[in-house]
Amino acid sequence: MAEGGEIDPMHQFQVEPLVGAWDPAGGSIVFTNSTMWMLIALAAIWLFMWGGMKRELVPGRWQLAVEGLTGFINNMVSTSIGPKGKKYIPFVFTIFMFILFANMLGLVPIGVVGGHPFTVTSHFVITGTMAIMSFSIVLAVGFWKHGLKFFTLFIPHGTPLPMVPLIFMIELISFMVRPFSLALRLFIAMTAGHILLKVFGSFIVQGMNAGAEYGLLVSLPSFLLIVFISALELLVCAIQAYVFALLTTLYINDAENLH
Amino acid sequence: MPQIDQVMISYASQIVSLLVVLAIIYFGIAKAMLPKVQDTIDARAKRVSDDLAAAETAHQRADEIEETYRNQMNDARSDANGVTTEAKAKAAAENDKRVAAADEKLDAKLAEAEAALATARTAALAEIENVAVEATQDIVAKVSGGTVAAAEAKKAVKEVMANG
Repeated sequence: MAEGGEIDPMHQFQVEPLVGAWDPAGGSIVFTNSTMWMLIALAAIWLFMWGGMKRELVPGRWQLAVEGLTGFINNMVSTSIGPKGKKYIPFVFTIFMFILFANMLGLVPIGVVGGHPFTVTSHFVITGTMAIMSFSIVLAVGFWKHGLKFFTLFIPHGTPLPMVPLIFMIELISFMVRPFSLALRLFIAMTAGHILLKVFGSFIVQGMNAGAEYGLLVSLPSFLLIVFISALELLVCAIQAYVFALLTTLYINDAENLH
Repeated sequence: MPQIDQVMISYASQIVSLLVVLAIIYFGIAKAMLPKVQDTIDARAKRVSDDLAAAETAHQRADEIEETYRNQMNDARSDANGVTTEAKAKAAAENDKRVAAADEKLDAKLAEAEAALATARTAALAEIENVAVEATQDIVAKVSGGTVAAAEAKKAVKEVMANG
């Protein structure tokens, strides 16, 4: 967004109420651009899944794509957790699909027609909430199934007795850090990628505004770079969704199959 | 950084909309649509494995049928050989019989003919003897003017004829 000739790469992360206004005291619930993009993601996921519901014996392309993705999630959960992981597939599916579609929708190039895509997953409130959900499931399953024995998760097999308190503390800290790493990884990957894209985008515009020689010197390399970074960002979108889902299943596995 | 600047003002809005959307995805899509997709995949996998099993059974059945067919062919071939040999043997026996019968007939005819010949010969010899006896009597009468008894003449002729 140009503000007096400057392009603010942070403006894209602004959450703006589309209906109503913020309560300055905070804690207000309004329909924002973030809400709208979540709903768009929801609609996109539903549309995608709906296309795979033809249930034909010989699948078409769309059905094959849906079956490929569900099979991928199924496979990931069953290899990580085993047969007991079947009940977690809907949850893993939910977070994987939501992150994947939210990430991807943040990259749709509607800026060329004046739109402003908003990346829902670039806010740590969102990623943090999802990380806490995953972490809560791990804790709930762990203590529900194993009770206080769940604490033995922090003592690896074969730890010498004098080392147990130290190892316990280290493992506990690494365990407690999990939701933060889970949330920050996605939030930072999305934020950094979008800032990068915006900065190089502004280089193109400013280079062209500064004249032909600057355009050739700055804008052209920036454009080539932005093409490459866009492809990279698409990859990161998928990888981050995969990493979040995979780590969630691995953490659930810890709770489900203690050691 | 809006993520930090806006935390206090926007957290409730973001969290609530996130939870609502995730709940809709979880119950509306992951719980409702996902199992159907999975069912389709499972049904297909089952169908493929069933078809493969059926194909395997059919293959075995075909092998069995081929085995039976081959055995039947072998049996039929050996049967045919047997029949042929038998027929050959029968034909040969029949032939032999016929040849034997014909031989017998020919032998009988030959014997008959020989017998007839022998009779004729004996008759001829008797005739010649009689003629010779008469001739002897005549010659004796003409030469010596005496008479020779027929028995005597006959005896003399027989003596001469026996010598050749």
